[in-house]
Amino acid sequence: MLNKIKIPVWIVITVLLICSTLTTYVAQQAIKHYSFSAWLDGRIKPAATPFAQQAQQHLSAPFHLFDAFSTLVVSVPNVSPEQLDFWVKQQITNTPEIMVASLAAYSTNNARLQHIYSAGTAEKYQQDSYQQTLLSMLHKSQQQQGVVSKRLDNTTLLLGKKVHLANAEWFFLSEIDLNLLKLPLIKAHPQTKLNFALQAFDKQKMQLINWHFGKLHTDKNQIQITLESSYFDITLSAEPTATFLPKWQAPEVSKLIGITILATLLLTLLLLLIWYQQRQQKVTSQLLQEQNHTIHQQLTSAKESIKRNSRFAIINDMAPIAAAEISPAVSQAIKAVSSLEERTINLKNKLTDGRVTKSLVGSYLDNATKLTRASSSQLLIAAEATYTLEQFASDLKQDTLRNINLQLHTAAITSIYKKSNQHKKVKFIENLPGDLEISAYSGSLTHAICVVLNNSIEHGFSGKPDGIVMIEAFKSKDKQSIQMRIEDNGNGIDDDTLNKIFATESIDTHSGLHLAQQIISDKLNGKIEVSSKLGRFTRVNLTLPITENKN
Amino acid sequence: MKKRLLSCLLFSFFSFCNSMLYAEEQAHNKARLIIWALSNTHWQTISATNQLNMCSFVSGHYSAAQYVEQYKFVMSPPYFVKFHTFDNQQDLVNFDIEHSCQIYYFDQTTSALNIEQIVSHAKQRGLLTIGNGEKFLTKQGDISLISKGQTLQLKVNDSENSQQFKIKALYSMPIKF
Repeated sequence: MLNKIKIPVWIVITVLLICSTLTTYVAQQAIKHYSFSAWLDGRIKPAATPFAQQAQQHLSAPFHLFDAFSTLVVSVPNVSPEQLDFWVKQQITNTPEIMVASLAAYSTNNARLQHIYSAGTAEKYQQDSYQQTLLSMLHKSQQQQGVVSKRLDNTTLLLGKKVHLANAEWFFLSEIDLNLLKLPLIKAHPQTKLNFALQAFDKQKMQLINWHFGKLHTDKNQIQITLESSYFDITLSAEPTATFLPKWQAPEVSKLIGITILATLLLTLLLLLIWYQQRQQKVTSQLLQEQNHTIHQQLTSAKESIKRNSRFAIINDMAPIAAAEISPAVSQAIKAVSSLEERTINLKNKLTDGRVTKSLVGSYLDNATKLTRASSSQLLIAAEATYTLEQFASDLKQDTLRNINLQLHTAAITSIYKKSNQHKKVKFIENLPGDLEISAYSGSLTHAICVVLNNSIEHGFSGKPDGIVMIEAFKSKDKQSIQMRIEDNGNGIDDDTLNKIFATESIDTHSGLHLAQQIISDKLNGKIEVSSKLGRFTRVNLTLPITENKN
Repeated sequence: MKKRLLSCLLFSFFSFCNSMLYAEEQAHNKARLIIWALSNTHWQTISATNQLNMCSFVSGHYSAAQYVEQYKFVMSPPYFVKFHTFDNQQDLVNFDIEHSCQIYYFDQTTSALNIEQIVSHAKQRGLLTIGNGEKFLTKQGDISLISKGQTLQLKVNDSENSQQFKIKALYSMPIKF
């Protein structure tokens, strides 16, 4: 599969490792995030909620006291200052969240602000220097129903309320010491191990307090709690004081990550092994290819050597045949010339003796003519044989491309075989038209024909006293090639051997045909087909292109 | 020359006002801590007068005792505290003899004075002493207000145990309001 992808395995492994690392990191971050969220909701919220509630209680207490005070004064108009003092003390005693009370009551009948009662720090608003603040609160409370609030500074929150009942009007004032209110929360803060930002807004969205307990660093690690009351809304932002270290909440998740990492490592190891194996295979394949190439070169070289040797062998075979033809011819020519010489000397002696007659001269001339003719004839035979041998040798050695008359070329080859004593019992029947011309490498053509003929003579007629080799040739229907058939009535070839002739490189008794096939396909651009019947015949069909070779 | 003198005077006036404001703010915050400390102190024995007298020995105007007084109803459970301020040690002693003080307060200056006798006597009677500075605790004081920069620290002398009162655990780290 990896071979089909065409991507190096090391890239796949690297990508896999990067992906697994990224996946593990993302998974870790996600788990950390969710774990942290769960931790925030599960731990921070329960720890922060009591703090928010405590803040709400402490901040609400003065509001409730203020409301109760105003209700008391309105409902009991004739209450004495001593009774109010007692009431205030009772409230402080019974309400743990109230450390001090700062309350003042004024009558506003006839548009005059008349002091009724004051306790705690609210007493100072009778002084002239605080009149402006007092009137400001009165003005604000006239505009809004219920309790109004106003921040004077960082430490003071003023509450105001105007009540109109029947023909009477009251204005109530309370001063809340925010720093004093903050002290119980400062004390409670360290126990929570959280940092807080506490904000309170009145119903008109005016900020009442903005306290920080510890430093908040980032919005990410915070939770927010909102508490509402009838006077104000509290928003508490909480953040853990220490840096959160992820604790894996779910062991299953840890197991899953572990299994993923292990599986990735195993997969990586497997891929590494496959990669190593592939690499080894590649190296082995390269080595085999190199060896194969070397063997192929050696084989090609060997084939060329075989071809060359085969040609030399043909020449070697032809040379004695030619020599056997030349030697008698030359010998006959020499005999004729010697006889002529002898007769000439006799005639010269008789001429010296004066015994020459006219009939004698005539006889001499007749004999001389015959001897000369005989000598010339024999010398011509020797010359032809020499020429033929030389031509064959030249063709086989040089293998030049030239126009060949197939009839003459085949006749020249067969003539040599016919003259051979060895083949004297083999009869050659040639049936080739005189106009069959082919442009081909003459040496290769000669070589191929010789190989086929040799195969017939040496193997086909082995153990047989005589035989017939029939050679035919004709142009194909398309006029583009020549069909040449060389058939013998020899032993034939069995089917197994026949099938292996062109399929194997092995050297067997019919390797000559394989050589012929190589010559024909490589040099003559043709093809060869062999058919045979055991004990009956062997037929070799050669298809030789005319135009291809000409080109 | 006049300009330089004027600017110098202005700068001096500004510094003076700033230090006055800072002193007032610190005194006010000390008052808050005193009220907090008092509200976290529980008395065991019921006073005959049903109230506690807090006798403050102060030296100047910007004393936390004066700010505490403004709150009027300050409780040191189960009693409310009545405030008495003296700038003379003898007046304090005389008041104590006549009316009996249950809580003593010494400001920054008077805490540094020779008050060991008063404090020691208060300790013998099991009364609460509140002062200023680290050294006040070494004088067997019960609670000390320690001012460092903009922070205030409330330190309780753990070694001093009284049968008359118990101080709840307070926030002992420096507080910046």
